[in-house]
Amino acid sequence: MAEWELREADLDRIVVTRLSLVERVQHIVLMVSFTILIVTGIPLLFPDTPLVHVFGGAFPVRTFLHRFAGSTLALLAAFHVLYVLFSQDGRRDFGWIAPRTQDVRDFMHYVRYQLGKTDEPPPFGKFNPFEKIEYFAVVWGSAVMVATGFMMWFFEATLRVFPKWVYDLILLVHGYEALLAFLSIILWHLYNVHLKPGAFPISRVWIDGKVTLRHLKEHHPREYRSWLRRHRAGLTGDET
Amino acid sequence: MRGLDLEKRMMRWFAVPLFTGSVLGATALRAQDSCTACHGDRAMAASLASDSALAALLFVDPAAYRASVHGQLGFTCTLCHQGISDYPHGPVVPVDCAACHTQAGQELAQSVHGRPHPATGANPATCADCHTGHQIFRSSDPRSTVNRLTQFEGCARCHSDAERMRRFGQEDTATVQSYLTSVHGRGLLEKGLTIAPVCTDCHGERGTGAHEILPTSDSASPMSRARVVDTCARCHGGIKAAYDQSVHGAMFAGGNPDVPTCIECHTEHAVQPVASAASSVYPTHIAQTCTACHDREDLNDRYGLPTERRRTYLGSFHGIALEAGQLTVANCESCHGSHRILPSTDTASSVHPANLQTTCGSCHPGIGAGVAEGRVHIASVREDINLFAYGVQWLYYLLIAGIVLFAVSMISLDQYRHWVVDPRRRRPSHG
Repeated sequence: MAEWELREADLDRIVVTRLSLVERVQHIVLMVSFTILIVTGIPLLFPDTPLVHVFGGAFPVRTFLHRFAGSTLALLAAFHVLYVLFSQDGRRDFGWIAPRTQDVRDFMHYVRYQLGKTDEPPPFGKFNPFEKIEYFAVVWGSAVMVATGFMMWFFEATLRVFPKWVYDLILLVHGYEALLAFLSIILWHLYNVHLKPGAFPISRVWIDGKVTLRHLKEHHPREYRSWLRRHRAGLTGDET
Repeated sequence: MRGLDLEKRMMRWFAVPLFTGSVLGATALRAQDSCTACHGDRAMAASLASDSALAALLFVDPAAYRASVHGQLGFTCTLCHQGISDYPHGPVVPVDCAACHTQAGQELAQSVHGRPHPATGANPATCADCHTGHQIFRSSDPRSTVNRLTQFEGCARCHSDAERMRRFGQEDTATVQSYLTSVHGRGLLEKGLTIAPVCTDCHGERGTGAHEILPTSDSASPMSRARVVDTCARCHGGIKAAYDQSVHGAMFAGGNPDVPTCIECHTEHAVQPVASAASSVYPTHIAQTCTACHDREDLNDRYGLPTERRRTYLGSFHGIALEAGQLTVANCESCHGSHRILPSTDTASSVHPANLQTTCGSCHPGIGAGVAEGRVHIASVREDINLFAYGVQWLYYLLIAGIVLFAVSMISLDQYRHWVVDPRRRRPSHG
């Protein structure tokens, strides 16, 4: 094993791909459409506040933007399903991101590590338990928002099938799910990727998709070890 | 006109014009001349009294009088100012217009203007206050102070004089002025539409009502609550026919004191066209106007009406879009109607469940029948949607609270590691 220990400098020199170009594009489309949806949607949840005046009288523009961004999100979701089903990277990563019981043990390890009870970092793979939850939250949230959103858009048809109370329920779900997503992104996602010590002020992974071996070793030890094994077998092509 | 012209011509031709011409005209001129010797000379009139206001009253412009309807008829001064035969004359008797204008005199005596006011003991207005003393014209003459085009100014002279009105127990003088910017006032004064209503059209009886004006608190006044609908219907007859069929109109006919008449929704002096942004029933104002009654707890209790109409509307997509400036969205009137408004329990109502699909469909073609199966104004998820939706709402409350708590605790844990644990681990190696 010792012969495969890299030199300290190599940890910072060698970078590996965390997000492929197709994945980064998906992320940017998601980020932009999500932001538009939040800005054009969240104010409607607070009708008693001056928030609704942010549209400056251009309410139909708001409606158009919201539906445009929503449709974009729906198309992105469809593309992502195909990506997960048919692309090599997609299939591989989906296999890694699927939850397993190891995640519970990893989480307990993480809490002990954070409290200083152990010095050994939790042995996360490419996706830690939080990232897994977040991914499936996005999957669930998008499905709910796209489904309820289209039912709201085409409410004339919705009301041909359902009674009004179902429509009211759809409205309620769309609103609270939006709030949930908004808070998760603001509090959880932005902290974990950008604001936390080590990443602050901004992580560039969403732009270049690259992380250093050191990052891999510290934050994704299981992936790091897997990289070393593949490197040993001459299978890695990520070195620069 | 002819009589005087004739005399003028004769004055030119004959040396002694006072003895020629018609007998009446000649006498008039002679008498006039002796009165105008003093009262027709501004300086002389001013010397007759030390008080300048009184002096001004003592001056009568002979030319202006001759142009007036009475002057044209050749009426002498003493026809009105009776009891004067000589110079110097004694105290004058007040002019009694009613001696000739019997009907107007009787009507005025019954009106708020012609009865001694309880607070002051004085009559609020005399004939001359509206018609002037010496420059009276027929009301059809545009030079008249009571002509349709000039009347407002005459009424407003007293009615926007705060000090004068206070003496008669009326504080508000702004309301009268708001007529000027109303659809009626602008129609008359800006557009020159003489059919637009003037003060006396609404406050007086139809036709000859200018003299019988009564306070609106008097049930005999055309603007009293009991009569205002009929008064507006003098011009807006078709609206009254619709109003009579409405829940408001039917209850009004039964003497109900709470339902709105025309003016509760449209206001009176300040009434605006419904298409004007200043109108009380314009999309941006109508919710406020309707809920001035429909959000009143006492009224909702008394009539068993649903509460929180304004909040539930403003919280709906329609209300939010309206608040954000999209005026085409539905407001109260779009669904409930206006003059013919009926309760949702009435099968003829536009918001009766059986008619809801049609009503909503007028803006949203092809809307499903499901729209009738549920409430439109949602005040409470539990009451107005159902228990299941209430459960879902609570699930989201818990989820959102859970997410926030989890995020905050994980972030705290991360900060703890960074600020407390990591420095402690590093210290030995640095030491």
